[in-house]
Amino acid sequence: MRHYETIYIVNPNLSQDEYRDVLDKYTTLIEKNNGAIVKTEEWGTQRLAYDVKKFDKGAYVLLNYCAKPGLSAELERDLNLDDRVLKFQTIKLAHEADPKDLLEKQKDLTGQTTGLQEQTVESVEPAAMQPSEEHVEEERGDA
Amino acid sequence: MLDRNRRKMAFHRRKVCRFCADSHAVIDYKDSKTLRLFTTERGKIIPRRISGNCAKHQRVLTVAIRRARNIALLPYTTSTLR
Ligand SMILES: [Zn+2]
Repeated sequence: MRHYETIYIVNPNLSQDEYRDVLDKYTTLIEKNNGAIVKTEEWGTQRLAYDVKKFDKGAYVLLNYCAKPGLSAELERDLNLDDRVLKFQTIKLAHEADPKDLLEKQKDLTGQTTGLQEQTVESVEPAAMQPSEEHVEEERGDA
Repeated sequence: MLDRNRRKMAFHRRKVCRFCADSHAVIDYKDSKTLRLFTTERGKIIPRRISGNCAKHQRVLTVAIRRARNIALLPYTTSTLR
């Protein structure tokens, strides 16, 4: 099976129920077609980096799943026709993957995967951003 | 000469590729905070001669930034800051 990741942005003005309907629709679509959902992430309403269909905010949903080759195209066709969805993007993560393995790995990860936006960045940034003394010397040298 | 040095410093020029130096740092198109470090305030990708990235990682980074832009996590360009 192929391993895909699809992000879609839902109209932020939907009611909670309407929003759930959107999520259910695409989850069921994958499951009905013998796909396996590895992970769903709801990022909530985020500010968009630019306006999309006149919206400046949108509710991001990330679907990480395994499916037969044609299914992502079918999913995208439905997303495209759905006026509750502002935008979407699918990325193929692996050509051949075993959903069982992925689900196992995902289970191991649970507990530390929640705040993805925060963690990953903070740990690396500060030290690397400091310009070093050494490199000032270098600049002078080649001036 | 001093002026020139100072100007270059403002770009945080690094000597080594950050992703080579830190093997834990992954380049993920969903991690817009990290990607933002490699774009100018106008949203353009900082060339590797300034960021110090190696060719391999710059390539991966560029793809990640394009994906992030496509799904509106990063701007294509901005004249007004948000
Ligand atoms: Zn590198």
